[in-house]
This record gives sequence, C-alpha cells and structure tokens, in this order.
Amino acid sequence: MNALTRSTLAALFAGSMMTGLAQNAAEIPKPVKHWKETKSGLLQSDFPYTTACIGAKFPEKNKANKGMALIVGDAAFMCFDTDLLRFTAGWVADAKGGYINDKGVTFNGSHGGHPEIIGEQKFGSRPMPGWADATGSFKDVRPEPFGPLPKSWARWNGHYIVGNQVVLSYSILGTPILDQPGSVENNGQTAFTRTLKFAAAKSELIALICEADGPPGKMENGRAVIEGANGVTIVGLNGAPAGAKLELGDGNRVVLKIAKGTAATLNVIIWKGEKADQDKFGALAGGKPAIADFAKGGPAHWPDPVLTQGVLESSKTPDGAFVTDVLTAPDKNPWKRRVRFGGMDFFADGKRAALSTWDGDIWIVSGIDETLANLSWRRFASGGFETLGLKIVNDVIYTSGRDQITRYHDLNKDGEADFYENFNNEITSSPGFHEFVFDLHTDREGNFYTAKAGPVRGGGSGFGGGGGNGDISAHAGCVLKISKDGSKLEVYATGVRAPNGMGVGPDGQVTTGDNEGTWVPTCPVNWVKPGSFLGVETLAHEISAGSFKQPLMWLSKGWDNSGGGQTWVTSDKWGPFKGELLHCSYGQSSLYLIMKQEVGGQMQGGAVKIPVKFTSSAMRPRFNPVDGQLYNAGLRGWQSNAAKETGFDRVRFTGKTVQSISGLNVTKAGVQLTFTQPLDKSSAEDVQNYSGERWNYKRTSSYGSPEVSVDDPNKKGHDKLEIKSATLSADGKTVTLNITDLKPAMQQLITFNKLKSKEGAEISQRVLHTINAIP
Amino acid sequence: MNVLLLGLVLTLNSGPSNDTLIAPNVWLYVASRQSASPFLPAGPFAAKWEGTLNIDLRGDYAFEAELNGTVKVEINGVIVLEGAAANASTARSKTVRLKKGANPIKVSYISAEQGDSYLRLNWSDKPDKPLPAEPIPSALFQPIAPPPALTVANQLHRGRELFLEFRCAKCHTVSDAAKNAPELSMDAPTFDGIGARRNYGWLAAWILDPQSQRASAHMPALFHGATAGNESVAVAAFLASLTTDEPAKPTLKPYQSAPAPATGESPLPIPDADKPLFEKLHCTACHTLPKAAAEAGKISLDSVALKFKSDKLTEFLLLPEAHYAWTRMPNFRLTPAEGKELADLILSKSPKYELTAAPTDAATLAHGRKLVTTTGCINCHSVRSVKNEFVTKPLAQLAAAKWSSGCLAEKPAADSKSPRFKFSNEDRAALAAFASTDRKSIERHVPTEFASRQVRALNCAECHGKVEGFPTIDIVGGKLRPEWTRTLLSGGLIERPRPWLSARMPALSSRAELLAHGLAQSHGLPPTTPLSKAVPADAQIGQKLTGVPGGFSCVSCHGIKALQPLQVFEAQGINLMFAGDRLQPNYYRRWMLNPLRFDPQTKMPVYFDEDGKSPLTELLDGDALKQIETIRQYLLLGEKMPLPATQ
Repeated sequence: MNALTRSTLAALFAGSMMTGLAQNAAEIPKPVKHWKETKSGLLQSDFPYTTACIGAKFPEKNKANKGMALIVGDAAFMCFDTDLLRFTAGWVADAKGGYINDKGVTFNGSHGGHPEIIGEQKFGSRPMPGWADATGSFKDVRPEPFGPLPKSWARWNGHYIVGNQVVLSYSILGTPILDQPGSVENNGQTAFTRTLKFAAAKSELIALICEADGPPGKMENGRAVIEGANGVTIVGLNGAPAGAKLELGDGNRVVLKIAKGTAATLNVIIWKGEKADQDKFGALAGGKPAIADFAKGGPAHWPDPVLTQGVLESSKTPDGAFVTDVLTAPDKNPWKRRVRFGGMDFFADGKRAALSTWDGDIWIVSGIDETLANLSWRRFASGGFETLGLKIVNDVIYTSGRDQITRYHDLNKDGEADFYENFNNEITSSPGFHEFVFDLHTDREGNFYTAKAGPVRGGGSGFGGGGGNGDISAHAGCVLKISKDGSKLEVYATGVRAPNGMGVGPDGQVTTGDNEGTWVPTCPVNWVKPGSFLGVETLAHEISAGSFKQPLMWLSKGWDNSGGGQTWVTSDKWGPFKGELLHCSYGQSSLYLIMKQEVGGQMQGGAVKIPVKFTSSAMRPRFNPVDGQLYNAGLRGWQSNAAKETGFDRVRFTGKTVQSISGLNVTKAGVQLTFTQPLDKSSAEDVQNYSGERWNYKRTSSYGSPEVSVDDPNKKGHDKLEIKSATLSADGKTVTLNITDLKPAMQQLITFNKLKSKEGAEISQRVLHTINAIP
Repeated sequence: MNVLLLGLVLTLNSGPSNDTLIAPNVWLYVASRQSASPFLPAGPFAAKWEGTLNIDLRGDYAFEAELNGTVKVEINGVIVLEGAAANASTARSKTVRLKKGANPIKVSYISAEQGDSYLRLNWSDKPDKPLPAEPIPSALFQPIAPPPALTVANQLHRGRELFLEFRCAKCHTVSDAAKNAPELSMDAPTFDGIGARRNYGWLAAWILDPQSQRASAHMPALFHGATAGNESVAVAAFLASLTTDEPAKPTLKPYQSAPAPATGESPLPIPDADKPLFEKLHCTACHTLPKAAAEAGKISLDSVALKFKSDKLTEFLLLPEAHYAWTRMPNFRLTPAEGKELADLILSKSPKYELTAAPTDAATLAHGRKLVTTTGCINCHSVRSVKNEFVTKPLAQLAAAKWSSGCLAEKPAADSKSPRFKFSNEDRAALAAFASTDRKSIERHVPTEFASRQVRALNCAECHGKVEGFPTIDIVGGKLRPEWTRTLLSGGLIERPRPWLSARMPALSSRAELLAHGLAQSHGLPPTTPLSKAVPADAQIGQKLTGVPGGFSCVSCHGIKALQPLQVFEAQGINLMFAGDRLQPNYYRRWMLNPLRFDPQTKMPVYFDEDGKSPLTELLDGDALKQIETIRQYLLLGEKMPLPATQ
C-alpha cells in the first residue's frame, strides 16, 4: 500500500468513526482529499520546505519569525525556527487538509498576516532557545525577541537537501550538530523524528524537544509520558548512548540532555495520540538512526530546463540610441511556480545570469547572447524567504532574504544547490508583512550591502505595533553592511521605509531609493554615508533623527512613486554615460540617468528619463560584465504600472548618437544643462524653448506630502520659474539658464521643447532636480 | 456669474439684451427653452469668449470643438477653427504653434437653430500623437482686462441675487406663471409646531433683531421704535404657543457602512478616528463651536442652547430640512447615535442660558397673533389656520425710482414700518440697478448660474479642494454624471463611495437636481447622460484587464462589490461597482489615460503612453483606448459585475 492510499484511508476511517453510529449504512462518507490536492497552488509540495514567518496553534504566540515549514512525511510536517534553533511544531494533515496556508503578502498578497499551519498539531514549543546555554539555562538573552541567538551559544550553519530530506546543520556551544527532521508511520500512527548526529560534545548540551499540556508527566523506561486532556504525548529515544537521555522539566517541557564527551547518531521520537494507542509507540521507535548522505549532494529536483526565446528591440528611445530586448521569463513552467524576479546578477562568462524570485526560487538562465534565441532556464534552488536580492561573487550565488544572506553550493555539479549555507543571519525579522529585505550588492573590498524595509502597517501608514504589522526590530528600516566573510553584520544607515533597491558604486558609494509614505514625502534617491539617517524618524534607531540631510534628489509621483535599484555605468559600451548613476522606478517602470553635483560636501542632482519600456517594473539593474549592456529584472507585487508580473530585459546601446541632456549643474545665476551633442545656437538661446517650475514637499509623519509653493509653504501647488535668458557655451554643449530668484527647492522641473542639435536633431526632454544648495 | 474660476470674459448677446461674465473655460450648454443668461431671453443668442491662453513652453497644438451651433476660434489674431456642426465634433484644426506666455484667444459662437445649444472647445497638446483631444485646462485661461460691461453686469447679477435670496418676491409678488427661478419658491422655517422646537427667549431676541443674532441673517427686523420690544415678545409668545409639532418626514437613511477591509491582522487605520465627529464631518467649514473665537463667514453655535429646546437639537441634526426645505444646513445622513454625539458636543461647550418662560396670557398671545397676520411674517413662513392679512405692492408696481426708500432706505425714518434688512450701500446700489431692468431676469432659470450661486451660498469650496478626497468643486460637473450627482445630493446613495474617509458628502435634497444639471452644464455637458447597456463581449475583456493575471491588477487598490481591495496602501480607490454609473465617459477616459495630469497627488499609476499604447500588448493589440473602453463596458455592469481573477 503506498503512502497516499494509506493516508487517505486513515482519514476516511477517522471520518466514519466520528459519525458512523448515526449513519445510515447506505451513506458513504465523502472521500477525503489528500492535502496536496487541497493546498494552495501558491505553495509547493514537491520541495521539502517553505520559509516564512510560520504561526502554530500552540503554545500561545508560537510563531517562528524565520520558520522552515518542512514536509517530513506523506502527511506530516515540522517547523524549524532558524533564529532559535528549535522545532516550533509538528503536525499532520487532517480532513480539512494540511501543511500551511497561503496567507501573507508574498503568497495571497494580503497585507498583514503570514502562513499558519493547517492540520492537527501534535507537539509544539514556546518561543525560546532550542538549546540551553553553557549554564544549562534556556533563558532568552537576546536584547529583543528577534534575530538569532549569540553565536558563541548557537550558530546556524545552514541545511543540506537530499531528495526530499533536509539535514539541518548548526553548532551548539562549539559542538557541530546535524539534525534531520522526519516522521515514521506504523499501525496508523505517525510519530515525528529528529535524527541528531554529533561527535564528542564539547560540553553538556541540552536540547528542547517539545512541551505538552496537562498534569506533570513522568519518565517511564527513558521515555517521557505526558497525559493531557487531549491525549498522550510520548517522547522516546532510539540509538541513544548512555550519555544522552530525556528529562522532563518545567511545564512538561521535554529536553534531551547530552553529557560532555558523548558522540552519537540517535533518534528522538515524538508521538501524540489516544491513550488507547499508547502501546503502539514502541513500533515507531525502531530502526537504526541515520542521517541522509548529504556530502555529495542529492538528486536533481528540476533536471529539465525551460526553454524560451527572447524578443529583440521591443522598444527604443526616440533617438534610436537605446533599445530593449526581452529575455522571456520561464513563467510557464512544469512546476507552476510563480516567477517574480527580485534579484539578478551575472556569472563571469556574461552568458549566464542567476535570478531569485520573491517566492524563494533561484533560476539560472543561459544563452545570453546577441540573439537571445535560445534561452535555457534551470531552477537552481527553492524554499527561500522572500529572496529579493541576489549577488554573484566568484561565480557563487548569494541571496538576501528576510531570514539571512544565503550562499549556495552545488556539491555534485548537477546544476542545483545542495547546501544552502547561512552566510549571515544576524538580521532581525518580526512577523510583519512589510519586512522586505531588498537587493544585495558588494563593494570593492567584497563587503555586502542590503536594505531592510520598515514594518509598515497594513493600511500603509506608520510602523509596527505587533501582530501582522510586525515590530520595529533592530534592523527595521536600515541599510546593512555584512563583512566579506559573513562574520559580521552592522547597521550602515537608518531611516528608510521601503527601499526596494539600492546601489553600490565602483568606489563604494552606497545609494538607495525609497517609497513615499510616513516620513517620506516623495521618493528620494539617497546618497548614503556610514551613519546616515535617511529620514524616517520612527526608524532612526540609535542614529540621531535630527541628523537628516536632504537626499541626492527627490522625485515627484509621476517620475517615481516607488523606488527601485540603482546601478553605475561601468561599461564603455553603453553610450556616453560611463561613470554615471542610473536609478530605476519600480512604480513607474522607468529608467533615469541621474546627474550629480556636489556643493560644499552636500550632493544634489537631477534626473532625465531614458525612455525605454520594460516588460515589468524597473527594479534590479545590472551591467553584464561581458557585453557591457544594462539588464533589468523586475516584478509586480504591489502598486506599480508594470505590465507583467515579471520581466527581464536588456537595454542595449545601438551605437546611434544619443540626443540627450547628460549633465546638470546649479550655479549662482541659474542652471547649466550639458548635452551629449553641440546644440544649434539660435535654438538653444531662445528662452521660448524652456519652461520651469519648482515646489517643495513636507517631510512629516503623514503619508507622503502635498506639493507646496517654495515661496509660500502654506500654498499648495508649484511656482513658475522666470527664465530670463539662455546662453550657449563656446563648445555648444552647455546651456546656462538664467533664472530669477533661484533658491534651494526640493523639486525643480525644467522642460525644453524642440531644441535643435547642431546636426539638426530635435531634443525635447524634462529634467527633474533638487537644489539643496546654491554654490 | 461664475465666481469659482477665473477664465475668460464671456459676452452673451440676444438682440438688444446682453450679459458679461467670467467663464472658466470655453464651455457652454443652453437647453433649447432656456436662456443663456438670466438677462437674456430664451432663443437665439451669440457668445464670445475673450482672454489669453497661457502656455508654459512654445509648442504645437491642434483644436477641435464639440458643438451644436457655429464656432470660430481665433488665436494670436489667426482663425484656427471655424465652422458649424449639428451635435458633432468639428474636424481637428491644423497644428498651431503657440508661443510661451500669453496667446490672445477669441472664441465666437452662435446658438443652434434646433435643439440644445452647446460648445466644448478641446485641444490636443501633442497633435502628432494619436490620443483624442481633451478640454484645455482652465488654469491656462486668463481674462482680458475686465471691460466696463463686466462691472455693470456684476452689479445686476448681485442685485438679482439679493432680490431672490432675501425673498423679496414673497411680499412684492410676481405672477405664479413667472416663477421659473427656483429661489422664488424658497421657503422659510415653518411656524407650525415651532414652539415645541425653539425656546421663547431666543425667538424674542431673534425677532427683535435677527442680524444681531447672526450677521448673515436674511430675515429683517420688523418692529422698530419704542414698541419693538413688546411686539417682539408678543410674536415670540404666540409662536411659543404653537406647540403641536408635525411629525418629521421620513429621514434619509444613514449611509450603510462598508464591510471591514479584509487585511487579516492589520485592520486599516481610520484617519482621524479619534477626532470628534464635529471635526471629522468638517462642521468647522461653516460653524464655530460655542465660545470659540468668531471667524468671518462662519456661523457661531454660541446660542444653540438658547435656540433649541433641550431635546430638539439632535432631531434637527438628523433632519435639518424637516421644517425648512431650503435650509442651507445639509443633511449628513447621521445615525441617531451620531446625531446625539454631535448635539452633546455642541451643548457641552455651550454657555449656560437661563431660559425664560413665554408669557401665556391671552392678551399677549392675541397681540402676537395679530402681528403675525399683519406684518408679513407669513408671507415667508407658513402656518396653518392663521390667515395672512398683510399685503403690499407687487413687484410690477414698484417704480425703480422708489428703490431707495422703504425696505431699501439707507436711513429709515423713525416711524417707518418697513422691514429693516441692514443692506450695505453696495447691496442697495445693486438692487437699484436690478430695479431699473425689465426684471424679467427673475423669471428665468439658468442652471449654470444657479449652480455657481448655490455653490457659493452653500460654502461647497470650504470642503471641496480642501478636505482629503473631496475634489475641487470646479471639476465635479465635468467628472460626475449629473444623474449620479443628483442621487448623491438627494441622499439616495446607499453606501459612501469612499467609506474610508472620515468626512462625507451630505445631502441637499431641495437643490439636488438643479445643482446636478447646473454643474454638468457649466462644463458644456447636457443635464442628462443616459447610459447604454454594456456590450457583453467587451465587458468580458474589461473584466480580464481588471484582474491580476494578465490584467492591470486594478483590484489591488479598488474593491469590486463585496471583494475588498487586495493590497490597500494608503491608496484605496473607489469601489469599481460605482464607477460606470458615476463618471462622465469622457472624464473616465481622460483619467484612465493619465490620472496624474488630473491630480498630481493621486496614487493611481499611469499605465498608458502618449502613443496610446498599453503595456498589456496581448489584448486588443495593446490599444489603450480600446482597453479603456472595454473596462468601461465592464464597469457599466455595476452591481452585476462578475469578479475578475485575483491570482
């Protein structure tokens, strides 16, 4: 009898027992569907886990902030909390289904909430360390109930995947431990197992196994037996040497004590059921404990590639200098996985890229060439916790997720990750739905950078407050720097709200975007220095909220209503813009050239649109190290005008002359606009061709800001600029607009219409900029 | 006169009659039997708009007009559009280059020979692009230097308005057949049962000198000299004896509250949730609370506790129009609990008044009754079973030369029995100017003129354009279908379109239809806009475009019927079930093409480009206008909209 049938029959039997006596013999109970048939299509059952904040039914407030919801049998599940290194729950499918629900922004899109377990929970543990400290205490010494335990106590190393088995790897008080969750079934009974393997323990170790309700339990023949109102819980060991034994502690907590020097591979068996079935426990506790053979990796889950064909020249700029090419995404795939790209980077050969998705997958695409005719997509990894950032270093993939920076190892070179290494998991994560960890970059020295959003409340205003809104934990709204070797995470800057994308320049300059909201009047491009406070007062943390400095620039709603990432033009094959900064608008799916100026140590700048069209949002721009062209990956997951749920495009320079403004400088008298080409003097010096306006925003605790007059902050709207004259420089490339009463303005818009280049091309553009200071 | 907007000088002519006013835009709609202005007879007329079109940046534009009649548009002294059309659009003009700054514009129009006369001038600011022409933003128009005729016309309009608002025709009667101006039928609070609602002391003070109680009161002081006090007391005592209150007419139903948004553990914060109702409803737009500092143009609630019988304030707030249909106080469709909350707040802030008992002796009551019947009270106020014995000269017999005496005397003689209105000199001059016309203007109802006056009188702009979610009043006529406006203003909507806002649009039943027509006609749009039935095949495509997979994911921010928006983020949109019924089709199309051009603060993204291309290329060839129209067809299904796919 295969597993599926057995489980179905068991459920059928249970159903008929409940109602059988009252039933007419002719009435046959409806067949109960296997949980795989009733689970949400947004969750996968053919991969052994999903990572999210996972809520359990008991004990009270039992949530794993970084929870791996593991499928450990045909219809048995366990959840592992990678912060506290504890199993939060074990449960089985029931007549209503099993596994977890699809609640939460990543899955069903709801703002607030996170997946909760579905089925009958058999055991649980309250949020507390999964292993005792060196003094034998389980006391949680973390400064707040978020983030991992101190490394000297407990360190999460990551996990191996072997088929449908997951081997968890961590160290407790210096002793490496392998911990493989599983289940056994016999006589209609299901028990949960933890196979633990460790060499000689460096000190006494105490593991939390579970806790149960009821009057104080007792130890019987080395087993813990707890009789509660809802059944009996029995925990036993198999294969345990003398130095390893179970004990019962406070509140019927079952712990495993391992004496110093003990080495073992043993099974912990956890069962809960009817008292009448108590005797069946023995049959569940047999066999020889063994950890899956993970060292050489497991078989491939997704050996078949998905083939797509790209589309060349899907859009182009009016001057024809830039075109977009579509790298068609594998959104139609045999596994029905949703594809929403949140991170992207290239391998050294430039022919392959890795893309992470919001749903936690990594895809590797090969065949990136001029034609894009043969794109081949392989799934490389899965199960990640909202992996919205990806970086490749020395051809090794790293992702940033809400739980950690993960480094992936393909041990058997079959094109799929076998070891998901925890590179650094110091980042804090609470149950908030809006705790995205966006983007991943490295600087020249190899340090990593990522940005964590603030826990915005369900309605969009304010932060934290508990429940599905989450809490303002240590890293909420921070730009984070992780050392090259992953050993250290530090707060680099504070006060961001929803920085869906950042950039690190060739010289290490960090930039971020942000999204209008509480304390963010409109989208900025932030010029970030170590210790910067970027504006959200509620998320200032230890950095003085008073130290706010204006960003490089602000962008009004029509330009950017939700910022994406930045990149620096490192290529000399991409037109005349080498060394410049580019910014993406997620909300407007637009690409901007950012023109910078430094005035007395304060940066300011302006944006001009590079009017190409993307398949989805503009979010993760990167230059291909070989072809030197710009690529962008994006998704549509919240408010955006993006056409599709995901897209991956190339912005290719065609070699035609770029007809555009390329520089902007504020001077005492006005604004200097520098163009890529010399202009026709009479056209350039005709003020009829220019117009301008300016306005300010109000940075308050309100959501966003009205646009108000610079001259009269109480007046809504814009002030028109009086442009007195336009003067062309000797080289014909720079126009100086003489503007009456030029003054600092959070936003100034200059429009020019039908300017002529010396060679007769027409240039009509709009430049949006910020004047923080006038030289 | 439209005082809401500054736009162009509009001169209207019909034979020897003419009028001059400031019009916001080149928009006009005159129904076939209506006049273009109260000072013009119905029938053929000509209109001319003059001013400048102010452009930020030199550029190319093309013009076209929708009209019934004949039009000529001259810009910078050059004719750019000319021709006649019968309920159609003209062809698009050649491209016109406009200079940066002021471009003089003159538009001439001659009314249609048949049917309603109308003109809507449109332009395209990107004539090389395929998108339809649209109205020229009103903010770009500036009038030419005001001609002397405008000053004269303004005074006439003012005089006419005073005549109507002060209900002069209640005493100086006009024939019933001439009562086309709705205000000629305006009532005043009924006396029936007034003794059960108002305190005697307040009545006496009010009757003696209404303006001392409220500077903006329209009621005159009727008693003067040494006997005034006794006479006021007698009338107040008589009124206080009228305690048989008619049961109030059935009230409008409170708005149904929308179902709680389904956002799991994160309920949407209600803005201003902890503010008192008085603030949430923006009562402060028109009132100051008792003991609060006086503010110009606002009615103080200082004496509310003196005015209302203790338990009657809540009743009044729940149904302000119960005894006075044309009251300016709108009906906020409060729940009884809300009514009580408001009343309790106002009364808790109120000074304590010692209420005096009304005299009840027969002599005083008889005296009061006599005065009520003989001094003209019941020319304005109704009361059962009391016969009016007051008569004065009908309007036709009031010679213009005499319009500086009697009610209009600057310094009334001590023994003058005329009512005293406390008109300013300007008011008296305006009334005198009106007197010297043929006075037929009060017989003419011009919906646009009515709307602009009412919008001012009702303080609409104290909320519209100031309170979050309330559009500026100058756009509503072009945005909302008049049928929807009428239902909204008459209190007929079951749910609030934006239930998440703490403010709400109150009902103004007496004026609902008239305002709905006037606001639409101010934008050159007809007073009725029948909807065609949705085309099922198109609606199906619209449904797909509204959903998440393969669509614009409109449901992220907009609910549809009971389906709550999936991801509201300070950006909840109106429930789409309302949209088809609510919006003018052209407004809807312009909004969809680029909402940011209407409202730079909107959180609705721009989806379509200037070339009329949609980012969703797989449906209808990615044609923006076609996609927008199929969505409209879907929206037209209203309560019968099938839900789109959300995953």
